[in-house]
Amino acid sequence: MKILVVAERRDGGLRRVSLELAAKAKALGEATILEIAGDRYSPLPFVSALAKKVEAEKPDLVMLGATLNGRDLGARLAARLGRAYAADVTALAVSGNTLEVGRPMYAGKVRAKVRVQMPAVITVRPGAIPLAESAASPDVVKLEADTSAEKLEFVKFAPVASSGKRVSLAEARVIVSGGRGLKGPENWHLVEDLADALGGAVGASRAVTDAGWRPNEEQVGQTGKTVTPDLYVALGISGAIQHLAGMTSSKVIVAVNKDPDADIFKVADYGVVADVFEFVPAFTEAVRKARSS
Amino acid sequence: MKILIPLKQVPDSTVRVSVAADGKSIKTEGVTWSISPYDEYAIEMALERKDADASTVVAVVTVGPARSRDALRQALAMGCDEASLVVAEETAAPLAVARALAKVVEEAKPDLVLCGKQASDDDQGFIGPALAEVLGWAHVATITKIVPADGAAELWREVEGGHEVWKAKLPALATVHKSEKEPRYPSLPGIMKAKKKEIPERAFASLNVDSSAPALEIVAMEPPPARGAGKILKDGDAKQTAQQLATLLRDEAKVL
Amino acid sequence: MRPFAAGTERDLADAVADWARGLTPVIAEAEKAGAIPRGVIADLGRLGVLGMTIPERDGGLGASSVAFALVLEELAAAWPSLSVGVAVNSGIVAGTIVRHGTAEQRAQLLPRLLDGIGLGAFALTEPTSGSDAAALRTTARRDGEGWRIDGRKQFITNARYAPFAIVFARVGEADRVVASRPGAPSPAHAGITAFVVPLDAQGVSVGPHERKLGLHASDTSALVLDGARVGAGAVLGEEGKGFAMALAGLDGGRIGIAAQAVGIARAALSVARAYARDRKQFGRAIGEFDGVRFPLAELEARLAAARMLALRAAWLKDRGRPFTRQASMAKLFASEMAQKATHAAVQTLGGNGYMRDYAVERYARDGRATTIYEGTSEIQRLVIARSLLAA
Repeated sequence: MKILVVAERRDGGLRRVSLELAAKAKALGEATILEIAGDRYSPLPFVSALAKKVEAEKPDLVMLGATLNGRDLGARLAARLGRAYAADVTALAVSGNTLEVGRPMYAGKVRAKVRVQMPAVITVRPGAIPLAESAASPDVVKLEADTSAEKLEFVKFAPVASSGKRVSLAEARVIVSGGRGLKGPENWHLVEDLADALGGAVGASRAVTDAGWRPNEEQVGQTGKTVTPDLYVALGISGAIQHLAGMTSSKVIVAVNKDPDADIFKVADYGVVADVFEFVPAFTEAVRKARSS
Repeated sequence: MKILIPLKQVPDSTVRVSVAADGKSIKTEGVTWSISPYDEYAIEMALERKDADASTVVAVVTVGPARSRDALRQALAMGCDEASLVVAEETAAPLAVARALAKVVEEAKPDLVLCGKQASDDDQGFIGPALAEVLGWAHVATITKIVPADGAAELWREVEGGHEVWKAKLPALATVHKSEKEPRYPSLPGIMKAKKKEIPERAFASLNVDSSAPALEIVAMEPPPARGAGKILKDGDAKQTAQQLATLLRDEAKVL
Repeated sequence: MRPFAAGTERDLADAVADWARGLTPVIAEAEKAGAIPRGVIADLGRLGVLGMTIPERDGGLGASSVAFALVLEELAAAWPSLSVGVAVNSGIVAGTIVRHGTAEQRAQLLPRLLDGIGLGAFALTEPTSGSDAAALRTTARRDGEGWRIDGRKQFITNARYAPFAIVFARVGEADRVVASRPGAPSPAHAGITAFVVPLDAQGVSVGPHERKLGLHASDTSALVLDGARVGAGAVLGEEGKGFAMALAGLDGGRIGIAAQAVGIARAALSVARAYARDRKQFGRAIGEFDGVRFPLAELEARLAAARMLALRAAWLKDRGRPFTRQASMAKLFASEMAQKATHAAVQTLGGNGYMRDYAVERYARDGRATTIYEGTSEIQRLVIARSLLAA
């Protein structure tokens, strides 16, 4: 079977999810890893170049990362080619000419097993495919974006002040999120210090982003980001169903909350009933020590 | 400016979703239905344009089962001007739904089509880009802001580290990630007004769209794996508990 | 179950319930601060809740009393302190102006009750006249073109937020206060007149915020009238007919308090029910013990009965039929039921029920007021008995 992987780059290197896809594609059959070269992602130039490539090479399966741009490009590509499309896949298996994928539905409240007719286009959730630490970087074929197809005009990039060196939330292996229990944006250094000690990204509950304490892009949950890190630490988050929908697939969940009946404890592997202001600094210190020893 | 929003009615985000006896659909008895959250953001975004310029017309449409009428009524109560319903089986293929919406767009001739970035039932995020594709329009995905600019619109899109700003000539389509303000609650006078509005209805078949589309078949559904009962640490002194947790994460969970 | 209610009325209540669910994060802080955030009042204005009882010709929604009762139930279930403010503003104050105001007064005053900037106040009670309202001592004397009002009003809801208050004062000889006998028609109410007094009028001041058992975020303050000056147009309705107006205002208000009691009881019982299902003791959910579940069952029945009484009174009012006795019956039954319900909820939660972290202790404290204001339970019995035994 022929598989085409559309890789993405971030800060020079291939995204982790692209490496995951490449590894999976190689395990499934004859894989081509493709990168679309252009100044920045734009749907029409990208889909135009990619559709031509797919029509020429006729891969059975096109795989993209279920990233912000991957999901957009995948959907439009599938519509252009009239191929079956499944988004945000978390598991996939091929037998004969049938592709069966696992994917969350209803904001993660249900897992569905879906039979997809090939040829197909799928986007795969970052972190869904295990990646051996030793995985070699794949050979990447470059494809020029078809700028003649562009109908939009890029105006500018407006940076957000707060986000900086930390890893992106969607791909982070460790995430520390803060909720209303932190009482105000002035206490966010507690969340950030712990995230730094763990080498992770910073997230927030919806109550926090709604209150304007933190930017929207940090929101974890049904109308924010769905994340699947190895370690998710929830500080002062009560665990509204919308929040749980975005993080219950994390491998290990730690929750710190004063209220022993908080819903977050129902999904936590390790629950700490404590005041975040007392516990978090001590825990940050303990993490630093544990990691350095 | 005329803005058209295709919306979808889905189980309310606050309800628990459970799998039906057939093992491949969800239980619908007793479910509270609402406008999909991202569609609500799209509506709020459009209504904010209308607040700024009263000549703006905001229309909503849905392709879905008859119960979707309540979602349209809700959109009217929030302040939308027009609503129409295309009655279809829930099993209509996504690409066919996009084709049906394209017909509606061609008739309604909006300047801007706003779609929620995904409907929180199948969570595919297909309809927005697919509708743009069927129409042959440009689209900008996951926007958070619209700034009108003489025959065009500046569309702000949240990406890592900031916003990309794209200018699109109208008509154009955008998928919506979030509005600047939370979606408004319908006002009581809005509800009364909405009750008096006609919601024209027609059958999916009457649009005569090509309904061929590749198959996608749900073969099973299950609740997400239950997480085993976790360990609860309490009543300890903060330092000791912190040490204990760090040790557990390193030696037992192996995530440090 | 919402008997006597049509689809539209239910839809209005559902919309308010949806909005009110979002209040949860602000309630604890507001109760501690002892004030309703201005933004919440503004939202109520924007949603059209404040104007829902005001007729369409006056810029309101013209919704029925049934719809208003359902809305007050929803507000009370979410936040009792807020429902009190709305009940007074949109029920009693707006109702009195709609019934008795001239076209000019309606045009001038009603928009200020629905704009979401403040909440109107109704100033009847005084330090020495509570249940015996006719014994009020506040006086109004002609002063040039207008009036000069002197006196002290006590326990005035919304005083701090009010653009104006309806103040009841006696016109005539200031000292002619005749002690009235309960239940007997007496000349004591002679001369009582309703005035519209802007809170920023000369000689008007608001006393300190009262510290209460419950309803902490609802403002209850004294209103001090020290030579307060108002114009000739300040008289609402007929001079000397104020007492009947006050009683009519309270009749409608009692439906509101009944609805509020229903909302409070419903919310407390719902917390108790969830707790009884989840909480395990002796290896079982505590809801499996009859000692826990029987009171909840009993109170569920009383809750349904109370709601029916409240909505029936509202339904009669909407049809222009007499409803004084029915409003009193609803208020008496619902408020007494709310005492039992909130206390049962606290008891179900045991030690947790006594703690601030769970809302039931607040519902118990807030609900306590419902047997007292707008006529104590004793006064309701008096009203019912009087109407029952009148030939």
